Amino acid sequence: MAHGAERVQWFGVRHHSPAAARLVAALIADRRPDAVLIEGPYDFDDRLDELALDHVLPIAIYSSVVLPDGRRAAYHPFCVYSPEWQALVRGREVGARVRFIDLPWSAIAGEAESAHRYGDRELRGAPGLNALLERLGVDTFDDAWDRLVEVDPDLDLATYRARVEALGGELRPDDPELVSDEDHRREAFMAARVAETLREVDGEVVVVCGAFHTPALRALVEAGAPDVEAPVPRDGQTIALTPYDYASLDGLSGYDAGMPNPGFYDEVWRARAGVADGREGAPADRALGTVVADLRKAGVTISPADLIATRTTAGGLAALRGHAEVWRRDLVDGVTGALVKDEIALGVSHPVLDAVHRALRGSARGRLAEAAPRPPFVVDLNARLEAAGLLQEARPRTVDLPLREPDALERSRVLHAVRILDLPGYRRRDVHAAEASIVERWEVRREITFEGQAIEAAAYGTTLADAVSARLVERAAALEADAAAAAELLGAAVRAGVSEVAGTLAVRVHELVAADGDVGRAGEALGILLALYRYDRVLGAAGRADVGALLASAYDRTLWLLDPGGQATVEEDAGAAAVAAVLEAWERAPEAVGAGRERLEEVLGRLGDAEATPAGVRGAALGALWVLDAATGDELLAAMERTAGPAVLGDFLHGLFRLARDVVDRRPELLRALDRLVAGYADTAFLEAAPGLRRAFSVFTPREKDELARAILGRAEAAKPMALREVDVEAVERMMEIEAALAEAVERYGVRGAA
Amino acid sequence: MSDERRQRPPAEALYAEELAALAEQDGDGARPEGWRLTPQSVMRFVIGDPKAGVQPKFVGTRAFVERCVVALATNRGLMLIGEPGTAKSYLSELLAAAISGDSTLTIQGSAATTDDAIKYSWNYALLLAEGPSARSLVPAPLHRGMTGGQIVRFEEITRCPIEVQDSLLSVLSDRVLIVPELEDDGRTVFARKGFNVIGTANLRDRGTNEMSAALKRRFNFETVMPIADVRDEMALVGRETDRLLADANVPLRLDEDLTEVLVTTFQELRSGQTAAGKAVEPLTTAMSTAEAVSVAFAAASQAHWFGSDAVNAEHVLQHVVGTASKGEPEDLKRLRHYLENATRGRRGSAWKDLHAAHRRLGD
Repeated sequence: MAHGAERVQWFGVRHHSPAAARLVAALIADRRPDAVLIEGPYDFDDRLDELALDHVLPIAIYSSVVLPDGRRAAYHPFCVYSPEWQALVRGREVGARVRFIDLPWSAIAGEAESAHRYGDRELRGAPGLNALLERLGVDTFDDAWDRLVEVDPDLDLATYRARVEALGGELRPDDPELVSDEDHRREAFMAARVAETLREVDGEVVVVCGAFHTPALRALVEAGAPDVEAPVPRDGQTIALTPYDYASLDGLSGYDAGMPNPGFYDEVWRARAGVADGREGAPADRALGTVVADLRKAGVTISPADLIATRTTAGGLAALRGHAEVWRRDLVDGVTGALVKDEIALGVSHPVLDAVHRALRGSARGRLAEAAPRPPFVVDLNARLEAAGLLQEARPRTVDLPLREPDALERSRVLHAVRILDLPGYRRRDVHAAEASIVERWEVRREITFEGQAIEAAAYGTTLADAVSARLVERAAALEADAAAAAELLGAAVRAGVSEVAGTLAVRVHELVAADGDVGRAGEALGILLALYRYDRVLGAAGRADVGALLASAYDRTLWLLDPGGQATVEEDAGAAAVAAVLEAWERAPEAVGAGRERLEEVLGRLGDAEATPAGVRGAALGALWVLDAATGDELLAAMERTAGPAVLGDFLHGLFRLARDVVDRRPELLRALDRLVAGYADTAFLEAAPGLRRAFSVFTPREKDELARAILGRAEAAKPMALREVDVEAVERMMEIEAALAEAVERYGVRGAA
Repeated sequence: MSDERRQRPPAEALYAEELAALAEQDGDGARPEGWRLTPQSVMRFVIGDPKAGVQPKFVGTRAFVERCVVALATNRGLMLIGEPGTAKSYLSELLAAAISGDSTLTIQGSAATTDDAIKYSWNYALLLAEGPSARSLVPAPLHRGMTGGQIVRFEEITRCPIEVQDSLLSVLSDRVLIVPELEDDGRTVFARKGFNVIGTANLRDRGTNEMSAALKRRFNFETVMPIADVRDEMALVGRETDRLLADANVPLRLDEDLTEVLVTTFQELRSGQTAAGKAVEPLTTAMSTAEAVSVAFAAASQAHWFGSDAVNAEHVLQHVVGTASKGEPEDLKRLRHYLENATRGRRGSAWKDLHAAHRRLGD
């Protein structure tokens, strides 16, 4: 046996186990070891003092790193009943040297499967688990652990150790090949840290780490673990404390498996650690009280008889399962049996069970101590928000920012930056033009998750501007062939005033515009760029030539994609929108787009003539030509008559009116021709055409529609109220029945009106 | 008539040895009064314990079966609800056999079920001759279960008119049955310990909406889920089919690949999703495990009695089509579309055979 290995007190845990927390606290108080080594990120080791500050639990250590294929982040969450947390606290109390000994996240992020570092992934996924579950007569790993460790309130250290060691031994595959590389590397690293500590101290060393790793770790240390250097920090690697909450901890609500029902274990801890919180009774009774209060508040009737039945069923289940007291699974099953009176479908939530899971989840939410150092980004962010008078306050407020004023523009930039980082609590309500300026209206409200998310955003940079740039570049890199999204990012950068990154983004927009084969997106990008170009005076940053150049290239690209004969297929609505964008760019920014009028007219002409062009796009192309004075009313009339089929007429007109709404005023004969055409439809043809026609005329305002009606019907006719048609009562009744059935179906499937 | 000659012996006869062995192991172990076995042994009997020589029977999570067992030990009844063919009746039979040693106290619910068939009726000759007396009373399952302290099964309870269902109210809450015709002691029948009711209700036909809130309150409800895991369902289908075939003297078996194809087809058409996560249109008819067993049994029987020496995909397919034609006419179309598209290009000869058989069968 290697020197000193007998001085190690091995303590295998399941993370977030109240029983383990209680026993490890007792062990440390009893043995008063020289050192306490904990499975925790090594790169936080020199900052353990931060954990000793006056935090409200749960909190987490948040690690983030940039890998070639993107950013990866992970959490090490701590709650009051985490054995790691108790080991930290008690270790300090007895004056032991406390250390974190696991590999930094940056060293394993590339291969790690789980971002929840205390999720017991190794145990849950162990190949031997099924056999164990069968033998214990339980369904899941959590039930197995509860049964072996948690339920018995008087479990002693020796029994705990024996059981946990047996569990670790059984669940860990004998064949080292079946243990992941990640785990091997972590264990070698942890063993080296244990050996190192044994050389440094003479007394006992307590090692707190996952039950899956303890057997291997012990074997390594006893055989004399070879030294393993700490990995070199990677670029962009950050680590910081962040507030956490039980909702994120709950394995049932999260995407990453972890412990279920943290609120229940919190009750267990309080009840058993004798925390005086004025509450009485066993954990399950306390939880049931919360469930019932919750359900009654939601209007669910729960009679005393129901409560008795729930408690009897839960108690019976506990007895059948050999639990010393009613446990969380017994409670959930008791409620399922006694209170749920209808079908439970897999994967569908049930209000009663939801209430149970909410109560068992708990609502605890952590808060960092005031004195805890924040990452530089958070300091910068808060300073900028404070300077701009935009810190979140208890009372929600709205802020109006007229962008022409330099001060307001600066505040708007801060807000846009915050929005790019997806930080909660700031929302742009609307933008409107007023008094020769553009006014943005923002809503600022206090969001409890703001601080945590700000700390996580700190991984992107040390100042607000840096973080925003990094975030935008990251998003731009993730885009594939979406010119519109890239243009949107450029717009976001301009609005946030981060000019350093605008160049990088402009290059990306340029690439994507050239590569995008989708007319709709190219047209959309053109629209966004045009807005940037035109409103540069207000925003200040983008008035440089590069947006003009981008605009020109987007204009060219859109025109190219619209031109028939190419590979691109032009879709109905997106194509019409692209035609509108091209026309607007040509009209509003002729100096930037540069291309000649002939080319535009030629493309639009070909588009209007081509057989393959969808009707709406053809209408839009003709409308654009009309606006350019390149098409006569007779040509429009001829085109309309060519597109007179009931299936396409509405689309054609929608495209036409969208671009050239004044055509109906200036060429009334068009309207009359249309009237004759529609009047000539057979009933079925009219029914087919009606929705499209209705949409086409939705382009006009009510006043315009009134004018149109007068023009068609003649002034005298239109002034009369329309005569009601004779309707058969039975038909109306049938219609109402159908509508009611439809409304019911809509309700039933939760499409609308579901609570 | 001996057990061997019965078409379908009840669970307590079929598994008599297991029950006897479990009872012996239980000895004087603590149990609810009136129960033949301890709750732990009831669990083992239902779920199976191969090491102790107890066959696996019902497939479901342990927690679910535990809830059912515990419900029967409380003062509420147990109501099993679920899609057709999810083994609700089978589970109730197993529970009754294990707890009371008798699963035959069964009321079959239907529109025609009356109070007589539930509580008691009279031997009219004796009634006329002697007047109402214990001798002239003919006890129905509920009466017998109460006096004997046994589990009573009420199948398809929601098919009964609601008034008939509600006749259970006083029995379930006060555990007492009044026989107004009799005098003195005979008037009230008190339930002995061990008595309880297992109801089953089908979600397809009438649902549980047609049950009064008062009655609902007196039951613990449990939803029986279709088997989620293909392996589990395959094992069950294989086991049950083999048993039926052996019983019918058919020497053929479905090989494992064909069973897998059958079970996968059923699961996919039930859930509306292929194993690879692609959406398919689910059938409206119940694609239950029980139905899969009957398809397998019918396919093998057909192969045997009509001169094949092995069961092939075509035999299976013919009966799957039969299943689909029980539902809406659209179901056949959906099945055809599924076979046409979803099963194309799957690996394994059994899938290829199925696809080819579908092509041969044409429309």
